[in-house]
Amino acid sequence: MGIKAKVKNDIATVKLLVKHPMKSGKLGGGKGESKYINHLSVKHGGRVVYDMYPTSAISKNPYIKFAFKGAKKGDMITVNWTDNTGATEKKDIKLK
Amino acid sequence: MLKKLMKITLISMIGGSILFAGSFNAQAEKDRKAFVKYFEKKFENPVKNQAEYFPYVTKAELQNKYISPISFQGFQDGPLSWYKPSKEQFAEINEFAPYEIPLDDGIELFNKPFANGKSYSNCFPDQSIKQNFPYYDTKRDDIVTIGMAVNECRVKNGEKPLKYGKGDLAKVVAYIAFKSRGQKINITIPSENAAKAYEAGKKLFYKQRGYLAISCNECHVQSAGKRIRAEALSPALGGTTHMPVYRVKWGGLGTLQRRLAGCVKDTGSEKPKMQSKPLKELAYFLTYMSNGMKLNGPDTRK
Amino acid sequence: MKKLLLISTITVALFTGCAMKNQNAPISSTDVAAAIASAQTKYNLAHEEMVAWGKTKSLIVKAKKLAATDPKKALALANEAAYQADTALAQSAEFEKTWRAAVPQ
Repeated sequence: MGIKAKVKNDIATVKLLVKHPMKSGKLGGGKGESKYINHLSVKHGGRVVYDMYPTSAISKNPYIKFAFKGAKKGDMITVNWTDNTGATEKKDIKLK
Repeated sequence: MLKKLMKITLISMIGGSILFAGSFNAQAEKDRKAFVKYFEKKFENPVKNQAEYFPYVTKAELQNKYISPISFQGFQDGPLSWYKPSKEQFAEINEFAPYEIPLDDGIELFNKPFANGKSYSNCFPDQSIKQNFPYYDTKRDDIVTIGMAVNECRVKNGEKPLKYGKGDLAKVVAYIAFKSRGQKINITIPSENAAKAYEAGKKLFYKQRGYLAISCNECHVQSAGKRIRAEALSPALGGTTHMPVYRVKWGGLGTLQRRLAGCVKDTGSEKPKMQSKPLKELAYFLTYMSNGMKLNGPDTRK
Repeated sequence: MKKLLLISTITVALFTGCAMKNQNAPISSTDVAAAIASAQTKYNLAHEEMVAWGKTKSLIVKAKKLAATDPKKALALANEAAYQADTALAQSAEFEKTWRAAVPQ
């Protein structure tokens, strides 16, 4: 998962490029592999600043961009996602 | 006396051949200079040149949506070089470029050792080489593309060759392209047969064929700077600098040959097989036309 | 006048009847094979010159597959493929005269 995070004034802008096939399972007459992220959340200082419940409609290797207030340079954020097969990924990054 | 005569003859022969070595690309150089001149002139001032080059585009659109003038290196951006809306769209997409994921895979693949302990670095100790491909190998009298070079490295080290055009091969080529960024394309024509291959590629580019009876030149030279339905047509100049390309349509990487083959099919001709002679000749011709342009692969396109 | 009308009606009826009869005549397998072979030769010529249309080859393959079970359709496909190859070659000969003029000088 690639993460870029910048802070300007009080606002942090975060860009994520998540490597995930995001397969809906609807291909192949409904028998195709179903594997898609169904929960992605970002935490900063103990509180959740971004909470997303994607469906299978989101495409492969999703690019997610969001901003939140109350951040300072050097703070840590944690990105965490799980998918419908139980796989997870977690990554910490320092805000620049 | 005889020895001296032989020596002089030998030296003059070698000297003569070195002198004439450059002459195989005389016609190609003429073509290339005219090619560059055409595009630079076309995009110098679209509003002023409207009648000659853009008769069906409104003046308002030329003033607001066209980027001009375009420098020689500027053409490496393809359709984004002249059409503002496309350029803005892609600036957004490239904020976190989608090619970064397959490129990371490519870096891993490049550094992973083969079964015999060696790796790609043994074949390519310096990865800043893509500016020389495709080159004409005079010994085997054939065009060698970067994909072929990668597979030859694999076979030499006991690995199975990869499928051309996409997948793992495109990822490895993406790494080599990434390492070659900023290098200027330098295709040479070292022999008469190479010149013939160049001419064959030139014919494939300019002669109409297929169900639509259309040639590459009609869209990418004559109509560069216009649109085909909603798509902004890219100029052929600089068309090969950003390969391999992450196409949003493919959701993945593809090499120059994959892109060319797809376009040939779309215009009503038979889809050429990867590394087939006509496809390599077309790639050779097209890359030669962009000599001197800096590489900027991999990149994102529609 | 009436006589002319009568003769012309009978003639037209006869011709139409003949045409309809030929439409329902069975197509011999040699005809189909000949059409496919001719289409194949023409396609090969076009393919060598790299001017063959995209769908020509698949038409011939399909015609070969249907030659035994549906000779009428196979014949139609083979004729279509031959037409495509002929047109491709004719166009190629024409464009050979003009394409160099499009190269920027």
